[in-house]
Parts: sequence; structure tokens; C-alpha cells
Amino acid sequence: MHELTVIENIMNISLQVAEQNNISRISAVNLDVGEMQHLNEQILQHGFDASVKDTIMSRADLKLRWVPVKLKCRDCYHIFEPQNGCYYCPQCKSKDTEIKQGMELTINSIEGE
Amino acid sequence: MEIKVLKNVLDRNNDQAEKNKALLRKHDLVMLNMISSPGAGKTTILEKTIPELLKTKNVGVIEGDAYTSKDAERLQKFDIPIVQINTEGTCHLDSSSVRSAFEQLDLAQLDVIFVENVGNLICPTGFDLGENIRIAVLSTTEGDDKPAKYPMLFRQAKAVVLNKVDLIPYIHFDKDGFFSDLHLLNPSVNTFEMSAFKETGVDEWINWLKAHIT
Ligand SMILES: Nc1nc2c(ncn2[C@@H]2O[C@H](COP(=O)(O)OP(=O)(O)OP(=O)(O)O)[C@@H](O)[C@H]2O)c(=O)[nH]1
Ligand SMILES: [Mg+2]
Ligand SMILES: [Zn+2]
Repeated sequence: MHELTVIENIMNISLQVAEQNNISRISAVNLDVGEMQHLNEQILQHGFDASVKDTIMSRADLKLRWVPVKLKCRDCYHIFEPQNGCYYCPQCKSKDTEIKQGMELTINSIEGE
Repeated sequence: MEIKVLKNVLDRNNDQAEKNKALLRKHDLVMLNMISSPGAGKTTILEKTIPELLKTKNVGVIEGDAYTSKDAERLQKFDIPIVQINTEGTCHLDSSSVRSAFEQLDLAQLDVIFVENVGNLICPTGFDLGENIRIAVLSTTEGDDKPAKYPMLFRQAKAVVLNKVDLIPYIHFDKDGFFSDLHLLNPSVNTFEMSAFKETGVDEWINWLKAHIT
């Protein structure tokens, strides 16, 4: 249930950004979530709705954008999505790859007045 | 009005993890973060590992447990510094709780710290503690499909211990399939086949550890 820790941090960051920008009501939080992250969307949404009560984000929507996993080959620089759990480069067969995206847990933006 | 934030939700944890890392570096200390499902055998592995390492190293342990101190009690017989962190139901340790545990350890006197994380295959993965080495432990009874189901943990682990291999004759566990899936996901991973219970495969593991704690 690390969803609750995630929500707590989302709220802290959002409220701080709102204060710095003279936002008195937050209407949405746009969150990028990498597909590598094991987050349960339902738990996240329910937990969020329960936690934001009595704050300036009480009516805010938590909008999730799932980011697919992409790897980059360190030998031929090919960028690809892993297929069937294989993280080798499909172009040059190199095993030396790095994760370029899919690990995100990032507040992209907040919306409000 | 839309305001760009572009901030990692776990920034606060990551920042503290960096500070922990710096502290470990300062004391020339190696910290290992052991992650597995409940009951995969983390404490049993520590029970077999610690007496061997104690011959040449000073060992400390940070025990994460949701509510009890049972695991810490099992390790007390070694007469080493052990700090118990009760997470009050939370499913993972975080870098600030490890930082508070450091306060109770004499870091200058230690060579290695084992962190036994809370039994959970998912939640601890997102929380960097500042460890030097992340170890995933999987027991055979959990099934051979776990690398595909939990890619984040198995991709990030420096070593994977497959424990309870003594039970393979009684269950369906495709060991070759397991290791081949694991290597497709994480080509540079170090792997160990172990029965902590029957004490097989423990020597290879200890030799590898010794090579990484210098
Ligand atoms: N058959 C067999 N049983 C084992 C082995 N290693 C551990 N066990 C048993 O598995 C059970 C759980 O072991 P623990 O070492 O407590 O597991 P753990 O990962 O520390 O568990 P939590 O801290 O609760 O997450 C105990 O009954 C152990 O005796 C093994 O190699 N083979
Ligand atoms: Mg244990
Ligand atoms: Zn390539």
C-alpha cells in the first residue's frame, strides 16, 4: 500500500506549489506514472479522494498518464519497447541497455485558480 | 491556469537516500537492502550469513517489520548491533527511517549493514534507502513467473537469491525458465541458488558478499 505514501507526497508538493503561485483552489493534478511502477490506479484514486478532504484540493481530479517502458541500447543507441520481457536490443542484440522511460512518478502540472 | 511542476513524487525520499549514501561513503561502509515477499527466507539467510562474516567483519543489522520485533530477536544471539524499525503497518522502509536507525549505530565501527526490508515484493522497490547493493530474494514456492510480474525489482537487483531450492522436487518450478527470464530482464544480475534451511549454496553467496565488502 505504498499508494498512501505516494498520495501524501503528491499533496505536499501540490499544496506547496499552489501556495507559491497564489492558487486558492486546485482543480487537477496531472501525474505521469511509468508502467514499471506497480501502482494500483483504483487504490490511488480512492485514497486521493479520501485524503484531499477539507483542503484547497478537495475537488481536484487526479489525472494519470501511463508512460510505457522504453529502453535505449548503449551500443547502437536504438530506442525500443521491450517485448515479452526481453530487455536486449532487438537491433544489435546487445545486453547493455538503459531504461529511458517507464519509471516516472512525476507531477507534471497542477491546474487551479 | 496550469502550472508546470515536473517534480518526482518521491523526491524527498530520494534526497535523503543521497545523504545516507554520503554517510555510508564517509564511513567506508557497505549497506545491503534485502527485499522479498513475506517468508521467502530473508532472516534465515541472515542467520546463516552473519556468523561467517563475523569472522572478519563488523556487521550491523536494520530490521524492518510492520509490527513485531521477532526477526530482531532471532538475530540477537550473534551479539551484534541491531536496530528495529517498526513501520506501523507501512509496507516499506524509507530513507528517513534508515537515517534515524543510523543514529543508533556506531557507523565508524561497522563494515557492513544488512537491511531486512518489510516483507513485500512491490512497495520497497520504489524507496531508495541509499544502499550500495540491492538484493532480491525469491523462494521457489512463489513461482517461476515472478521476474515478468515484478520487473522493477528484478531489473534493479544486483543479485537475486533463489531460496528454498530444496522444495523444487515437490512443486512445479521451472528453474531454467526462471533464470533465463531473469537474465533477459537483467543481463548483469548475479544469481544464487540456495537452501538456507539445508545450508546449500550458502558458500557461493558468502564469497560473493565478501568480494563486495572490502
Ligand atoms: N524448506 C525451506 N524452508 C525455508 C528455507 N529458508 C527459510 N525457510 C523457512 O521459511 C519460513 C520463513 O523464513 P524467514 O527467514 O522467516 O523468512 P523472511 O523472509 O525473513 O520472512 P518475513 O520477515 O516475515 O518477511 C521459515 O519457516 C523458514 O524456516 C529453505 O531454504 N527451505
Ligand atoms: Mg524476516
Ligand atoms: Zn543495439
